[in-house]
Amino acid sequence: MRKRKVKRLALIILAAAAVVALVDFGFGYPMAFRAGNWRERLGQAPAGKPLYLAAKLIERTPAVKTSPFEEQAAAALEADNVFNRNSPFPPSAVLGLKHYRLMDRQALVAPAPSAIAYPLTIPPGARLEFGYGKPRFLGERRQGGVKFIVEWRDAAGAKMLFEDTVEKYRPGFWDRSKQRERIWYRYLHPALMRWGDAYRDASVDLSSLAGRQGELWFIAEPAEKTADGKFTAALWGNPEVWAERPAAEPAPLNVVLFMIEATPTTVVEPYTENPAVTPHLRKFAERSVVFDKFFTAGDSTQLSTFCYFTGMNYRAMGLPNEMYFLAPMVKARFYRQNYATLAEAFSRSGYQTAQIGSNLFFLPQREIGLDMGFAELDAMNRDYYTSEDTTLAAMEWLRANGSKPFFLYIHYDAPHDETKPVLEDLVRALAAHTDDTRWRMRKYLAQEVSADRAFAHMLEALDVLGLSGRTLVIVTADHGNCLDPAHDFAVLRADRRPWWTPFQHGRSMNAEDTLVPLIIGWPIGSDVGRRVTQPIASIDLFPTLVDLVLPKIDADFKERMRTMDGKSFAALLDPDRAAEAQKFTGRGRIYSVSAGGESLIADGRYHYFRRAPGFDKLLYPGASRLVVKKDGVFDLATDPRELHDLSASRPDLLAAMREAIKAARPHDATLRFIYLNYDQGRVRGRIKLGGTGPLTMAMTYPDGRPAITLSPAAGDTAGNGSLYEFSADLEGPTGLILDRPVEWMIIELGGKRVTTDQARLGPFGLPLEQSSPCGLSDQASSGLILLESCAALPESVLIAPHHPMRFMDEPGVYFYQMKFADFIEESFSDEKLSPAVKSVLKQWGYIE
Amino acid sequence: MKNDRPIKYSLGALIGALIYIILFAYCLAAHFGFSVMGVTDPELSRLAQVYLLKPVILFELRVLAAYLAIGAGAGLIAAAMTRGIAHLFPRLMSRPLQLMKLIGIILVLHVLVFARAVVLYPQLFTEFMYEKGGFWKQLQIFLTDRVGLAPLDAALVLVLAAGFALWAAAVASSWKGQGVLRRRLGIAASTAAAAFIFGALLWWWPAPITNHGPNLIIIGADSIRPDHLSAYGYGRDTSPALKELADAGVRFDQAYVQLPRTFPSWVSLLTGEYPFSHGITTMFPSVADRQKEFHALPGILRDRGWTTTAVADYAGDIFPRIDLGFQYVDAPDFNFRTLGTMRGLEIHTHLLPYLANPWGRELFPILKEFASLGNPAFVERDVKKWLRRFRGRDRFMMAVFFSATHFPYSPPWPYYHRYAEPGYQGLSKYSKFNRINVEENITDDDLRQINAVFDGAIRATDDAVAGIMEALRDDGLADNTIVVFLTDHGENLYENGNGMGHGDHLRGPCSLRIPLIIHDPRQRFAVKAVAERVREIDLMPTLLDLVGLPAPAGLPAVSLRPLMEGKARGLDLPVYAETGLWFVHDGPGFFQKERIRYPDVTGICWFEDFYNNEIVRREEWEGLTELAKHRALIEGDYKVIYVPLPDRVKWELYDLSSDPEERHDLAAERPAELERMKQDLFKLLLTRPGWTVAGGYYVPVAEER
Repeated sequence: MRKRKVKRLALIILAAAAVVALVDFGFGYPMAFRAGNWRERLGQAPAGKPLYLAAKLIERTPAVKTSPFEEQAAAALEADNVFNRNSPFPPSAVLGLKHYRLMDRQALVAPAPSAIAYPLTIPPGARLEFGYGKPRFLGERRQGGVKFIVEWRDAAGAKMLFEDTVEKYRPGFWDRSKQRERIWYRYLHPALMRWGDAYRDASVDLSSLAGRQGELWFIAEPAEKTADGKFTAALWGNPEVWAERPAAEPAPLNVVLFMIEATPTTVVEPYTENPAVTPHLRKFAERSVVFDKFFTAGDSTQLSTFCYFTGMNYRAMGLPNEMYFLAPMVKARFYRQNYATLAEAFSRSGYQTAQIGSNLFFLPQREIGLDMGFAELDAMNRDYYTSEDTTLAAMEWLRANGSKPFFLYIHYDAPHDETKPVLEDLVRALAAHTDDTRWRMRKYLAQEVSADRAFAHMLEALDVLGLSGRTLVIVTADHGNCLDPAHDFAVLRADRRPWWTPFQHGRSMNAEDTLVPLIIGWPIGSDVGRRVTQPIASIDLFPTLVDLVLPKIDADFKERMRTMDGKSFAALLDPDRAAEAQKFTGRGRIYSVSAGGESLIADGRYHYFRRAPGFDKLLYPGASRLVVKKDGVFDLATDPRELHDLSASRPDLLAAMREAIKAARPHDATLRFIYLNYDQGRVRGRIKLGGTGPLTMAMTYPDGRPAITLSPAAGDTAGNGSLYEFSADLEGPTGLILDRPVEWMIIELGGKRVTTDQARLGPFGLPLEQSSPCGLSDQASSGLILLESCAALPESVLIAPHHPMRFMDEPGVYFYQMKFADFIEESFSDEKLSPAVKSVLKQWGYIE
Repeated sequence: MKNDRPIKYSLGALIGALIYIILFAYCLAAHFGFSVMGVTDPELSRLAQVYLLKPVILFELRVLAAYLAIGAGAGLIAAAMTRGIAHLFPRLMSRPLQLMKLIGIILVLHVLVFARAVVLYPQLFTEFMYEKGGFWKQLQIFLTDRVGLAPLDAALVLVLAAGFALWAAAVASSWKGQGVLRRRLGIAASTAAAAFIFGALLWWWPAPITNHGPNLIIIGADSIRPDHLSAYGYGRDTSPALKELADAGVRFDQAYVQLPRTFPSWVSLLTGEYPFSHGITTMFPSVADRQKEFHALPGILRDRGWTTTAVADYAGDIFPRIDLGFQYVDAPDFNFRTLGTMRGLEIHTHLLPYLANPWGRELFPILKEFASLGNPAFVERDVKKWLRRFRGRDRFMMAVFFSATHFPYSPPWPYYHRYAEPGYQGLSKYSKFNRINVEENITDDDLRQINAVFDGAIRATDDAVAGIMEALRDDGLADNTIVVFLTDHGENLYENGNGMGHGDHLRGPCSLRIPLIIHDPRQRFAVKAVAERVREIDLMPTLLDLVGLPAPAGLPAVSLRPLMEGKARGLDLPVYAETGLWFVHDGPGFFQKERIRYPDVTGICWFEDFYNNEIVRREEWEGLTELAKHRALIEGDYKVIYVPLPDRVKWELYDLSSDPEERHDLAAERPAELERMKQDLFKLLLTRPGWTVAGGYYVPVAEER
């Protein structure tokens, strides 16, 4: 009796376990149940004749524009965070629709009713391409349907070219709940994912109008009658006229840049003997140029891809590398510098530019993202996707745009996470010949297998579409990953959780974090592979591509590229430039930074890293002791796994590398702070600044009102804009932040000169010198004089590594300095800090 | 009547448990609140609520379990007594009467135990009795001054014995005629007893002595000033054992510490390095500072075959926080969680009477961290336990640290009233009243009483030292064990306006000078009392010298052996000292005005919630707190003190030959001497990497990123 009971219980438990396993298997490895053939989805779409961009209408002034509700619609869109028209931002950041597909296109806000007309002469074989749609997730009052009409009007009359009505959005059963929606699209019917239904693409054949002069009308009408004063927000997406390229003119070269997340050279096949993980890459490498020493300029996606696409070192862009969330001011500073970007280089040359794949750092509307100039972005912003999903989206894009020259950036993000891999790939990864038996490693390798296969499918698609012959394919990675168990440790940061390195990046600075593959299919169609051993940095790719593909780019842009840190290595690729290649000796030393604030110098052989203060306490697994490690140097030639730190045995090498990193570190501006620690009173002053540069900035009160404003002094006899005056009624301690040296300064408070005994220097606010050698002096004629250089003091005594932490300060004038990166890192990344300085920089127009 | 049966044991246990649950709830409700060493701070309370809620709730469950166990035990005893009474007086068998008796007996027992604990450790209860005033204050005074320990002990023994007798009589008569059961029970009981005795014998049987030595015991005590020891000529007989030790060994009359705070002081002592070079400069060093590779005495000895141990109570909570080479650390841990859970036990005044003993400390090790339970006898007991174990080790090194002499100076019965004025009823009756962030008005009576409890604590410590010395003799280790006695720093007791405590300033000899006695039974030294100035850092090379090992190279310290042997008379060692962290940002002391301000300790420190909850100084405050320290140098006849102020650097100069109390600042009068001393101090300080002298201040240089 009892035995039977036990048996029954055991059966129930087993059945329950089986159900759990099945559910976990199905939900955890959804691709196991996914069906689909990429060839079917690609279809038989021919690439068509090569086209060129004849007119980009959005950049033209319309002949007619009637849009009575444009301002209201724009404001409403902005309020809903659908629409961002922050003027300092480059134009492609104008529109961001938030749902599954993010298409950052230029758009015309045209709330129904509205009409916009562009004058035009139609070239032969032309077609009009545009998008149209209405934001889906706005309030009910803008939810009516819209009729979109495109008309051609000329002397001969009007001709309707296009008409479509976007109905009022009625969500389906599944779409009414986020939860249901997720289950439906993720597990049950991923193929039915509705791609951009809110924003449709359209193409109109204009060839019958060839040679005619007239106007293209874009009309948006409400589909149903609306009450007076009500409107429906609608958008026209980047209307462009493309025309057939004359047969005599050779088609420009397309570029597809594949970036596989978190992939060091140690796992990719042309670099390692690791059969069965990336066979397609190996095959591709056999007929391409393989770079053996290609280092990324940053060890995490944010740092690295910004560098790839600007050709600049990270800190040189004015971005602090410890800062994950980019403060509006930091973003604004970036945009103000107007750096050239790779996507922009292509779009200026009449290319379609698109990013497909999850690189969220290129989404400017996010706190972490910056606009890198792509016309279209599909960031695959879904809960679950694979490299194959990304490839399918890229193919779809290619089918629509393959006839026009394109620069396509495909980002395979799957190896980054520990998402469960596709079952088939997991099986292949388990069969891979590698000594590393860790389960996490196999899962990671499965994602590499998957990316490799997706890459192969994309190459095939290029073949099917007839594009292979004129498309340059580049494969690389945004950064490496910490995979070697010998590199496992945690960075113990003050007040935060420990950062563990295994299967992570941005925490350690080993070669495996920055040494990544670079394979370039050059010359196109060649079947002879080559290896290049010179060290190359990722920032070099931008000038190289411009050199190879866009030699005729306009002079303005070339001028902007002059400040770039990257150097073209095109000579290494082009067999015709062999003589030049002989002279190319690589970059010498490559500088790289990490999200932890560390920096690195690699010269192809030695690898020197330096940890930032606050990131130098390391905890090793199993050990209860902390190790404080500020820097280290490794010889990659004899010790590729970086197990033996040479800093003790080779002090000469260590010293040389320390000097090298100092030389390589981008210049970081020093800010001078003059902090007036007085509760109230009328303050007046004059200040003489040395050097040249942008204007000074003033601190504001917590509510945003400027406390002090600087104005050029009337008596500026030199006339070089270096003498300023200021006056204000103080309501509390405030001050000035200057990014130029101070030559002298006179301050009056309540009509009395501030004297030297009220002046305090350095991060600790000490009266570091009471007599004059430091540059502080009481002069009957001029009052307080603060000189920039204090010869008697070491410069670093004046520099504050943190915002000065003081307590119950004496009233007085505090003078200290801070590195720009440290200042913004501390001021803007921590909401609790310095309410006053958060609204600093207004005078520079950094924030609206 | 139907109900007139003897009360059941289970009912007794249940009622006992219920009563103790009520006591638990009462303590929780009446005493709830967070404070550290009697100081309540709103920010600390907020942090405790945010971060410690879960561990404290879990801990309270443990406390509740202890209450329940004690309640059930008391209930069982009471039930046995009730049954005995009922058996002898059948007329008193009515149910309500029995219940009343049961509850009454539980309460009487509890009151007796409680009263006894109040007399033995009054400091545990002052917060909730003496300091409250009124009835509770008078009750505590009555118990400690009028009743005393002996009557309470007698009453307790009497009650328990009577109860046992009643119970035994009842059991004996009720077991009549149950022979078989009785026989079986008897066999089981005697077997269990035999097994217990056998086990106990195995446990207690002394291990054979295989110790060859030389062993080393460093006995430290907190805050003892040499001028409060009879071994150094003090009027009260506070240290007979130390006098004996000093007579047998060498006494150093002028020994100085380098930083008069426990943690830095011990690290300087064991590493032979200045605080600024070993990096432990406050009580709350960062994890990185604590986890460096220290070349300390215990580590050196451990690597050469010594077994190394540290035994301490609450002030020795530094030992688990740093690895100096001790293989065994028998000391309480200190972190933010400890503070929270400690408070979770401190408020249970009705449980503490049962726990304030060695077994209670085993059950709740957090009791070792109680400043109000700093009974040196507990440490003595722990040391003896380790000594028994070390009989079988080839050689050992042990650091012992007594905390009872640290303020609030809370020695147990009878030491707290040994030297006290009988009629005193001020704030410091049982220990020095601790209110560091409130201005104090110390009267002469208070001062005498503070000295009395301080001296009482010293005497209690001395008696424990005597016990350790006796144990050494008993264990046969006395002949090959070097015994060192010293303290980690001295103590200011309001002399010359210098305030109270240690580490806040460097003026006067009281906080910097320590007693130091070295006794090596294997040799006799030519000198009995060394008059030359010596430093705490010198002890490490000295002890290595005595056991025949070389000191690590590059130390600023020297061996004192030549001084002990009389070969280096007149040696003038430069003595460096610096202050610790100021815990509060304001106060009555002169040093609170003559300093660079920073927030109090709750603003300066943080706890690392991912790393053992350790309390550490925040990195961003390191620069300023280090910069703000006062620093001093003693050389020849002079002592110079560097006092950085917000607007200038103040220098003090004292001529120790004519003004040993340091009352007359000669900085203005003797500029040449001042300049020379200044240069010497800066020369020493500039050996610290990353620091420079700028504008007259000693400042850190910003590190390149």
